[in-house]
Amino acid sequence: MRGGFKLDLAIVIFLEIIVLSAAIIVAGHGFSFYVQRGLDDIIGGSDYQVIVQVNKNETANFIEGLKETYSGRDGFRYRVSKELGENTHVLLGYSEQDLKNGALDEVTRLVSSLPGYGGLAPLLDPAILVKGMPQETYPELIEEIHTWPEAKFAAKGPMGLYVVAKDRKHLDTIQDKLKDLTSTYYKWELDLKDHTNQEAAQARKMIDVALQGKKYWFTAAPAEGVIGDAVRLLKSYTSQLVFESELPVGAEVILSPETLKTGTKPKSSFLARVYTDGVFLIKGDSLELTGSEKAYLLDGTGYVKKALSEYRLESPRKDLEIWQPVTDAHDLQVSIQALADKVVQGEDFGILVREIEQLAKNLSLQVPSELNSQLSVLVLWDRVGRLPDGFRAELAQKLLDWGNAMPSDPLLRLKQSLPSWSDEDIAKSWQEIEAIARPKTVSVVTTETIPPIDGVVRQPAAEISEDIKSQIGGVVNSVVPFAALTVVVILLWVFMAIDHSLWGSYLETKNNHLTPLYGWIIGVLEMVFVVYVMPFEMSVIVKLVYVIVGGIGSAVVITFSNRISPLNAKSIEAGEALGLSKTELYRQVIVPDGRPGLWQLLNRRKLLSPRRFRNA
Amino acid sequence: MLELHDIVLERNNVRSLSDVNLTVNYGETVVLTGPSGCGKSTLIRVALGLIKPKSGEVWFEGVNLQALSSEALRKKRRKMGIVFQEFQLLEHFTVLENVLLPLWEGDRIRNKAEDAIKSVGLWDKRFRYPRQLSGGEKQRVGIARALALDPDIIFWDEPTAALDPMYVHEILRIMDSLAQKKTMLVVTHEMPFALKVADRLVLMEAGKIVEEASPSKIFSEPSSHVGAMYRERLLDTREALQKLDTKQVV
Ligand SMILES: Nc1ncnc2c1ncn2[C@@H]1O[C@H](COP(=O)(O)OP(=O)(O)OP(=O)(O)O)[C@@H](O)[C@H]1O
Ligand SMILES: [Mg+2]
Repeated sequence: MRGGFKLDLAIVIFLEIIVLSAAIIVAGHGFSFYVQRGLDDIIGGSDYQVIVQVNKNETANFIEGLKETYSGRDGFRYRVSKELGENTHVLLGYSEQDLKNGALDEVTRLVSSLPGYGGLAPLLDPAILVKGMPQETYPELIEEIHTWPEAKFAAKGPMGLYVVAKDRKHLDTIQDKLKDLTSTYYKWELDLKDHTNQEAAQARKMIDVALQGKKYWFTAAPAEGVIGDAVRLLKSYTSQLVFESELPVGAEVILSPETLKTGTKPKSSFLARVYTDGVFLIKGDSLELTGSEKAYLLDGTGYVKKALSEYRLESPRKDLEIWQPVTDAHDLQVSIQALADKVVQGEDFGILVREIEQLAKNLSLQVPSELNSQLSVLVLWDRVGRLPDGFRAELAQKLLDWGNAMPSDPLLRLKQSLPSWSDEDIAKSWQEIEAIARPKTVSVVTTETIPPIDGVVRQPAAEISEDIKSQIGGVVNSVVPFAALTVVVILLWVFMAIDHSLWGSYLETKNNHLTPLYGWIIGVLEMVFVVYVMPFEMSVIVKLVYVIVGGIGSAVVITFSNRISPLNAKSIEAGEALGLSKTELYRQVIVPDGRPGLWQLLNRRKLLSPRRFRNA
Repeated sequence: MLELHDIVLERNNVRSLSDVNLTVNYGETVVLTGPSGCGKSTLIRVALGLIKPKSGEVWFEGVNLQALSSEALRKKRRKMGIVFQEFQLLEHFTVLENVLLPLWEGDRIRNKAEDAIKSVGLWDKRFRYPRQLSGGEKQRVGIARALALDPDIIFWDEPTAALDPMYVHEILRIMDSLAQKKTMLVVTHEMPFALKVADRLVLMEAGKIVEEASPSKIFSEPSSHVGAMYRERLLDTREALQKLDTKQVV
């Protein structure tokens, strides 16, 4: 029962340290778990390396297939996550070994053909991203990286080569090692003067010659790649004229039903231009050609230079005419409404195409390849941002009209509902895109140190930096101690304040002017212990903040002791008048009279109890 | 038994007690009275050793309190009981626990507290908390608590001032009966009680003792204007009672 006030205080402080530490651990881990959970659902989390969107109806099949493919690999995990519209997100996780063995590439192949494939998920792990290296070099690099003790694994990702570190603190070392590893690769960049494809092709030829027998890879900026694809695809939907003889690149060819004389300036609604990759119709629409038109070469100023020999018209648009209805469908309204909604909401046309395919499959309809082609154009146009204004709304309306009318072949009507682009429209489109994407430089990655050609600029090939997702992960990690700190500060004020202020009030009864100093020292000491036992890795600054906040908190609390835990002067006087010692005054009067806190809890055992009295 | 010699109490150059000399003998009941703020409660605190006077000495049972260590003073204080105006019970303790409290660091003999509770007629309510009691009952707990240590002297600081008139009487009755066996210093404005019970009446004004004599002497021929004032009050009361009596006769 004895032991005194100081022992009580020591025990209270000890308990406070335990409570504070527990609070930090719970808050820290709780918060990081919470954040991780949220991120898991958004992007797959740190365990899960791949996120796959699968059509809702296909989920079960897909999971079956996954299990079959990956059965027996203990590191493999999957989690069926959120449903988003028609798709289910499935998160796939692999063991370290799997990842080293190229599981990411494997799964990419496996899932990339699936409807709704969403691509490789970003990693939350601490990772360095290497951009700019040719993919052909990856196997060699990966092999080397996998011998590094700091690296968890390296794998090809959507943006480049990802090197995942075992621990965040290894990132710098890995970055340095990667710089070393890639230091033998250079990027040579040659400026183009006219920014034409021809000039670029010539430059490439020059480089081919200069670097013959050496290792080298031409590189293109990712945007160029997409736009190039778009142009190529759009061109494949433009009607081409095929001539026996070779025509000068850049020249124009006119098609006319009438016979034209050399030297005259003709007017015609059909015009084609000669490009390196073919003669494309750039004015008029091949659907309107009768086939009896003759071709004439123009001279550059618009006058007929000469009549051309026989030509063949290769028109993908011609196919549109011969497509026939296949079957009837009557229960479409719901699906169509959903489809129309998605169109308006801006659903990716790639996904829409898959949905239309699915719809057709459900209705035992066949999607004509021509329609598919047309939709593919939409996909591209949408991706390069060249969809006409109000197009989506218009298309959605047309879809609805079509559904309401219940046509004999819904897909035929769907085709009709799509905008009718002429060859001219399509040509304008790719010409515009091409104009934006004129090559300005030609670049090549090589292991050579001597510039192959005059006037080229040399720089290291690899761009090495921390991956953006890894940076997010870093932020999440650094937020954890701050979250814990917040909880501790709140606890300090709400819970600890009571104990500290009880003590402060006690000191004040002694008229102690050093009270705030004691408070500060106690707070600092507690925080030093707490920081010492804390299981998080934190920067010195965060630790310092803990200590200072703890100290200040405690000092402030103690300064305002009498407001937080006011002592009842009358009760104290009564206790004193009854001859209670300081310790008992505190145990029997002051602490139980104050606000409930740890101290009061602890004090319960020390309270007077009638059972502890005996009868005389 | 209790002697205050030339007590001077000063704070911030304001004197709240000046040259107070007061003796309370064994078995005596001394009533101390005076206008509000004249220093009665302060005097009691000084007597209990809760406040150290600037000068002067407090002797209790032959010992100078100022000369004692705080531990010895604490022991000595256990020989004194005090009943407060506002009861000053501990809300988190039951009646029994409140009364046990002074015994906690003592011999821890339960009967002492139980007997005290019985003597104030609260046996049935010993497990109640103060908030569950009436004012009169609270003060009876306060008395029981003061009695638990079987003190040699009991100080009363206006024990009835915070009570409804209906409870005043029951407290005065207890005090009256205690006055037979205990030494008491009573601060009160209840002049009929003083007249009836007090061996000596002490009048204070502005920190000074202005008159000290038997109540009957003071009420018949007061020598201070405070004494005259109390005499007036007593006469008023008597007059009122007489009126009541004649009315009842009629
Ligand atoms: N420790 C102390 N030192 C000096 N002066 C004090 C001390 N405690 C109280 N006083 C002063 O003593 C004066 C008298 O107060 P006290 O409460 O004793 O009057 P009282 O006669 O009991 O009045 P009441 O009838 O209202 O209870 C007050 O002015 C108070 O400020
Ligand atoms: Mg008073």
